Amino acid sequence: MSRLSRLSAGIATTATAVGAIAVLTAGTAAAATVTYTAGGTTPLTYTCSFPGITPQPVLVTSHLDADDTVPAGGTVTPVNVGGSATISAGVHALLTAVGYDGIRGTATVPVTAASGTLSQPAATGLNIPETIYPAGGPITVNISQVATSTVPTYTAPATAGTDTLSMGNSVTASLEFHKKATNTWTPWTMSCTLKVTNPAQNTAFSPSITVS
Amino acid sequence: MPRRVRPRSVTVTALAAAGLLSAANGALTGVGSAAPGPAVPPDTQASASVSVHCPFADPAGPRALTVETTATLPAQAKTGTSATIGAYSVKLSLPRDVALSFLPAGATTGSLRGAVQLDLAVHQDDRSDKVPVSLVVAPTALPETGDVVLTATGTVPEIAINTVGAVTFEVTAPSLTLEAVPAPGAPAATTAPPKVACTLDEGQQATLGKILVLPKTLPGPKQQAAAAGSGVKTMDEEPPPNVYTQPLGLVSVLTKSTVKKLGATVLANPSILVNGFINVNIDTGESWVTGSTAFSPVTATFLGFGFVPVSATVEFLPVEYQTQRMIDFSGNLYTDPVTQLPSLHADLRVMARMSHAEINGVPLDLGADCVTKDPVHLVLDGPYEAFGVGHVSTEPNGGFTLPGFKGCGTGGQDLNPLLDGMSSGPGNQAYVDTYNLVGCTEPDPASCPPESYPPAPGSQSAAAKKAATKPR
Repeated sequence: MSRLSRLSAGIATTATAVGAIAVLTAGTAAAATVTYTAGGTTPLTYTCSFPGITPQPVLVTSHLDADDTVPAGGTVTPVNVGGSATISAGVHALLTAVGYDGIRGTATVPVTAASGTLSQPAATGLNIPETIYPAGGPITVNISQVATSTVPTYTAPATAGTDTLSMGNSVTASLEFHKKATNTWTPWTMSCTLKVTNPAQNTAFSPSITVS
Repeated sequence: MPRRVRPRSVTVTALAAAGLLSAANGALTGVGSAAPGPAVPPDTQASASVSVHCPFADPAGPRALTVETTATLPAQAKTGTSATIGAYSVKLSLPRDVALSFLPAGATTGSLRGAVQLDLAVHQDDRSDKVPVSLVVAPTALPETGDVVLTATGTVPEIAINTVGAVTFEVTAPSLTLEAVPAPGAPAATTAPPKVACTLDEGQQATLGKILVLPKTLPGPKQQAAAAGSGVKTMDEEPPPNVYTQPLGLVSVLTKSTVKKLGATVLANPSILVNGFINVNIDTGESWVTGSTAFSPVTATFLGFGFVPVSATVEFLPVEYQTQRMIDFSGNLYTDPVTQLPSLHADLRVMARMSHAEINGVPLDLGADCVTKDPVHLVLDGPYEAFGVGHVSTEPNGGFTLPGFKGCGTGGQDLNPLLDGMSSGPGNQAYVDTYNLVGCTEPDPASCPPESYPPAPGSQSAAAKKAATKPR
């Protein structure tokens, strides 16, 4: 049994007890909004394509806000979906060397659910605001949900328990890089693949979703 | 008798004696017929029309004439043999009043005869010589009206040219010696007819034609390869501190070279940069790229000396081409101070090898090791584009110098001077386009974006145009 499976089984056992308590207290407490994070403590490493060089490591964190408890069969649409992507000082120096100093665009972040279902496989149109970075050091690119973003709606399983959302393996971004010399933006489709490690990286959002 | 050749003159020997002419003709014919392999290209028709001024005696006075010369020239000749200029003919139109001035006073009918003498100027590079030509004007009756067209014909002395390269022939101003044909039974003239020395009007083209002189059999001196460093950083060198080195993505390279003397453009097939790395010193920002590439041989066609159709296979090789196949490449990335564009400066040395030459469609065996004596030194500069196509090239006002050749020829033939004369020299240009290709992991290549494909052969033109107009 994999670590993830063992973790899920443990969560399920706990969730059963929590669910029983929830039934007893139904109607007496409203669900609270919590922030779910993936890679919060240890950022996930994706390998992303860059112009002119072989794919480079990018550290990714992500988060979303949603109810801490979702009724069985109920739905919830997360808000404040976002995250960050950190490009190393080395890659930043390479971008500087070839004349690029800024980034803007949108990201598509895939999400999976262990038990429930999602209305679409990814949050799309997440905004990467236009930012010019001074030379030197790593770059942290902010990713955030905006009005034009599309976020999948989560439908909880029919039975009470817990569920887990996870980051998908492939993140893409429709970027534009700023060419300093000409003050123009050059499009680039960045493809990122979750780096395969041993043990595997934990892509799950924490905490788990409580299905009541 | 053969003339002694002046040190700074073309090695021309005019065999004026009739006996020598026939012997030389036999030798030339023998070369063409006895030699195995392809035949000598056929003779070519040559012509020149020049205007001259001729100071005829009064009352005719100075007159402007047009002298039209025609002849047949061999397309090429070999050293150690002789070249025949055949069917040499000069035609000039003599104004009627001038023609009448040569007749007895008061005569309105008659015939003219005489001679035309001129020098045939022979040029090769900065050397020159003259071959005297004597032509005869056969008795020509004056027409009832109008000008008199005189035709002078004769034999041009056999010309032995012992220097490899293109030889140019130019006509010069003729000297006319004309007289009236005496009536039958009339006493012969007691005085020699006057010689009228014409002068060539300035500023006109007097070229009659050209002959390409190829070597026959000459022992070629053993040349030593010039040692030259490539200045390429190697992976064995200790990397500077805090340098971030990453493999480059797929980079395809297209090169285009123009050789000034040939008027030729050599378009290489696309090649791939292998073992490509980009390096940046995170502390200082200094950055550079390294890699290796190889170019497939290409066949170029051009006009040798500007008039001889030539095709040859051209290869660009590493300096250590006898032990190495790949051309090492290293270039510094910098920001152009004027355009602020990210740019690449590369100092590259390659050898150029030629083979499979054909001149006028006749194969010319250059041998297996016909290469430049010294490396071709290319200093390339231009924009570097990580997202697409970068264009680096030699300095437009300087270019690069194509060194002389060595090892060209087989069987003792020394073709080095021929190639040197045709192609070696300064003022050549090189254009290198670097295509940073987009990586694609699609199982079906058809699903990959166009930017993931290397450029197709033939796309050099557009790229080269961009290169030619790029800001420096």
